[in-house]
Amino acid sequence: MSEIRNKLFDLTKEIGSLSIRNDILANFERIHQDKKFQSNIGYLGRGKQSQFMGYLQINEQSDIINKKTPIRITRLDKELLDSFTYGNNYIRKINSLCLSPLLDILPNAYSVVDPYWFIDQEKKMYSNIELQSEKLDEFVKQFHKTKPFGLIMSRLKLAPDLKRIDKKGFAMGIYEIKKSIAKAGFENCPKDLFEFGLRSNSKSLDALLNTVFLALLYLNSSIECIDQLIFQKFTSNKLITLDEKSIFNVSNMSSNALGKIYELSIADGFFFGGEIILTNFKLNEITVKDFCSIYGAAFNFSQDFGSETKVMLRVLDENFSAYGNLLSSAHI
Amino acid sequence: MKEYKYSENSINDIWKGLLKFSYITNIDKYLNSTLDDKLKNSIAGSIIQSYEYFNSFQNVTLNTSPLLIYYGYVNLLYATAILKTQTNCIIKNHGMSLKLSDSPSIGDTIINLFNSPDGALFKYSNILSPDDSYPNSISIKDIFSLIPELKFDFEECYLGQKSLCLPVETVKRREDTVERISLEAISQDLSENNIIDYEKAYITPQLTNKYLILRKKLENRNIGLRSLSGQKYLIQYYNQSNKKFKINQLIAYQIGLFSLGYLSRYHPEIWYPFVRSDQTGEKSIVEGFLILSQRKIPNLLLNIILDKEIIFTNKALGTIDISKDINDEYLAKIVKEEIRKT
Repeated sequence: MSEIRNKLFDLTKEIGSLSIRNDILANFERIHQDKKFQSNIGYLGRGKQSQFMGYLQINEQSDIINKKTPIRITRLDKELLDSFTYGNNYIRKINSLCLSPLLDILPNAYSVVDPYWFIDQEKKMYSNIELQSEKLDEFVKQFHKTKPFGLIMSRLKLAPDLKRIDKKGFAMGIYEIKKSIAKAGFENCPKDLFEFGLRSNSKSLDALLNTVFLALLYLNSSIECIDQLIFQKFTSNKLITLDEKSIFNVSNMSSNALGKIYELSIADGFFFGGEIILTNFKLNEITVKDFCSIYGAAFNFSQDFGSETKVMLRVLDENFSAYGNLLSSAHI
Repeated sequence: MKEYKYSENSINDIWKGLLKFSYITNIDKYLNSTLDDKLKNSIAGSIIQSYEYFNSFQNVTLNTSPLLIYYGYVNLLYATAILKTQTNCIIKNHGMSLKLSDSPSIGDTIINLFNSPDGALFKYSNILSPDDSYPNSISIKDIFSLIPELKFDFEECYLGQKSLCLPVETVKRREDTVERISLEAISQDLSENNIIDYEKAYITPQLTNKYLILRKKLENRNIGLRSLSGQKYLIQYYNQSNKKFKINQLIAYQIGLFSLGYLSRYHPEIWYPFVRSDQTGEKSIVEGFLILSQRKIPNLLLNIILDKEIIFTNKALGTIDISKDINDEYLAKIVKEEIRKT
């Protein structure tokens, strides 16, 4: 396992031993089992795919939803609200710590690279908390050593003017790239991103700019997946593992300029996009053991063939990014 | 490894393959090592005797035929055992004995099975299927329940009892192949743990209103058996006193043929009335078992000797017809062609 993964798993182990984590876990189970919550805020909150934030947002919007739709949301009680707020603050604190080098090297990109920027730009639902943890410090220190920070610094040395791009410019850039990735679909890489990757060592201004954006996108993906893993550690005792006992078909194992993807079939399973899982199986005598992020899952059932779920996965690289190939040819 | 052989008379062609080992030169070629002349003669002589016993089967009635097939089988087993182990195979007894029952049903006759090291049962099962395990006794009826081709006759003959063979439907779809067992073929208390080697082949099964759905594991072992028609069957463990036993097909035939041969040879007071005027309806399943033995046993042992699964077919070989296969690529080509024309 890579150093960053080791540190991340040390951190999640520590999270597992926090007393507040037990409260969060109990409350999370309550919200998904208690009939009062499960059919509305439990379901809708999870569907938002933004960790605790999804539940907090639905709670915040409950009056409007109740007024304008037939759905009836039961608001979170104080205990639920407090524990979910803590979980949300914890995750977002980690984001700000991990991305802190950008405050010095590219301040206008700092906040927009955070995946939470797109859902809570004004940080209305965030309050700073102090976290005292050696494991967290070690993880953050390791994260700061990852390649994208080095790439951004080296490109900025050659083109310091890139620092003048404002926050909106960075936000638009990242948003546009993410949009084009979504448009290209699961199996493909947008053509322009592929070309950016090919010219990532060029010293022309546009290549320097593009490489900075690729690095920011890579960081954004890493943080997204780290957030999700931490959320899962707070809210579940077990990481979902797809292994030889559950997989009956591997229809796609490929790689493009973005990263590696797997398409697996299992008999039964229900997943939310973005969830982190572990794959561990042998195919043609080769062991495949990877952390992956769920891109999508399609469920099918018939009396003739039973149920089958096709799971589409993006494989996470050593820095927990789903876009492991994005920076592979770029040199610092 | 599978090998398809064109044949208009499979029994003849199987024996053609086996009778090659009635020639010392062919035995030498097969063994690729020096073997005592006595043993080579034992192999050749046993093959010839076996052939004659099997061949005589067609010329006698049910009064004698079980014994002929049993003798033919043990001769063939003996030759196979020497060919595979390249050592002499000393057999002092059958390794089985018969316990007659008061029941009018032949199927209720019990065969006691012994773990005697010089017994034919123990010796051959050690060579052919060392992982198997046997109860202390088993009935003829239970042996029939282990033979896939007899499933429907068995369930018709012994009403209310289920064969231990589960017929598997294989459905080939565009992206994958699904195997399933119709619920009608399954007893209610079936669990995958009762199917021999299930976990080596499949993930946990699913139950729908119509089928038990089986999905193969990524790295799977081919389990079960194929009947003469090519239908796949999964075989359940034989349960007795809460213990599970894995009984190989060849050994099931050995036990079944011993019991029928013994009854016909040493108990004509039971066997003759059964042959003349069976009241139980079992005669048909007994005949079926013997006919199957004549067809399958030589084939199964030839497979073991040659270390491959030989499938006899009367379909023309050497031509692979994919002219009617339409894949995505071909479909795209047709569409493009049509667009170009317009």
